[in-house]
Amino acid sequence: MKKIIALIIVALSIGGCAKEMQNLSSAISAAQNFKITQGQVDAARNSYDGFVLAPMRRYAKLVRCRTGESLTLNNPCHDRKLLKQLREVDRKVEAAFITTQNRITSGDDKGAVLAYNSLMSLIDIGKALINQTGISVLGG
Amino acid sequence: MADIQLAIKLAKMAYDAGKDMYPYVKTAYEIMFKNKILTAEERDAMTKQEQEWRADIDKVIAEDDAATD
Repeated sequence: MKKIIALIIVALSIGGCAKEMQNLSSAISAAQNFKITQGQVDAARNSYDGFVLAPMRRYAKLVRCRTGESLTLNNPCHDRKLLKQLREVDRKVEAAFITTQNRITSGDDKGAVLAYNSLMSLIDIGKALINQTGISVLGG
Repeated sequence: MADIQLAIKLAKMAYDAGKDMYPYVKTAYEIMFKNKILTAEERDAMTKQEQEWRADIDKVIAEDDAATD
């Protein structure tokens, strides 16, 4: 029994740390809004993969919720409409990462800032949808 | 007994979710605070992983679309 409690504490700690990291990442990005560096894009991409894409895949792997059902602790399942919405936003995020990267590579600082800001807005939508799934309760 | 089984199931799901997320969060931290610079190989590996995950998700969406329930 003690082992089970310890496991749950560890699992919840992972979730808690993740939120702290997310806030820190957003604050730093906001402070550096005059020029976008390769490091910022790489950090944003890793952060997105960890906080949105990985949980999205985990959510997709849950069985499909039947009509009228939603994710609960006893019945982990994915809502097909929500998953589709998530993937649509993900497609836009994927394209925005490419655009931002292209602007940086071509030395277009102004364009990179605009593309990066647009990317951040899309990532925020992705994060909001991931929170809506409820999968983050489990540490994702 | 059912409570214990549920607790084990939850702990495993949380552990699995953290396992997927941790390497990316760690890398983001290293880039931001330890001036880590990604190599071309690391970026390629990340792209490959993203493509695999997106393919997995697309497969599930296609199955959902085909389902009649």
